[in-house]
Amino acid sequence: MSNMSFREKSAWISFVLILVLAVIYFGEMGAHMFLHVGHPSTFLFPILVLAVIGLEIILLFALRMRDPSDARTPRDEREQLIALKARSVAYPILAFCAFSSIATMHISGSNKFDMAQAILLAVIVGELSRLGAQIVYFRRGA
Amino acid sequence: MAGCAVTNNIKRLRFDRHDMTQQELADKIGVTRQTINAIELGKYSPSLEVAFRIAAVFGVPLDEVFAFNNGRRK
Repeated sequence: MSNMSFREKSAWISFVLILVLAVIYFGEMGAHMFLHVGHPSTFLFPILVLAVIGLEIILLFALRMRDPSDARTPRDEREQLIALKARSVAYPILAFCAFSSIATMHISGSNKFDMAQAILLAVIVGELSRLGAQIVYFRRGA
Repeated sequence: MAGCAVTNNIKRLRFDRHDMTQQELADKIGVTRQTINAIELGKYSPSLEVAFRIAAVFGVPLDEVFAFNNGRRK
């Protein structure tokens, strides 16, 4: 009997996949913007997003097949509390990162594209914070 | 909610009821097995509704399942 519920496992899957997406995409962008190496493809982000969505669907389907009753169990009060607490952790982080993206306007040589990258980074950091907080609360009990 | 002041006898009550598993109890009250485990370990204090449901499954009063240690934390 697994120690993790279906929702905890799905939080882990989302966290790892989004982290991999962020490392690949911002690694590529960072190398281009700061080290001036490589030419990132316009389609890199959409391809990565589609890959993450596809992998997430496949992995969640595999999880569901392994233990259908666990996957069918509706979200209970503890899981709802964990989701709320994780959002309250992630919101200030998202707000801080989103406001910080304004700073790109004051960096000489930066443009709208750089600001869009900063906003995208803020959204991804916010989502990783939410999923990370969920995982921590699941491990702690609530 | 680690170290909460609410203690419980769920584990003993389960064993008294023909070794009822955490999953069986969870199915009867509509929560996940992990939530029952968290309650038993004192990591999570359930809502009144879930507490009453647990007591109803065992057919005992609420204070036979849960106790509040006023001012004392594990």
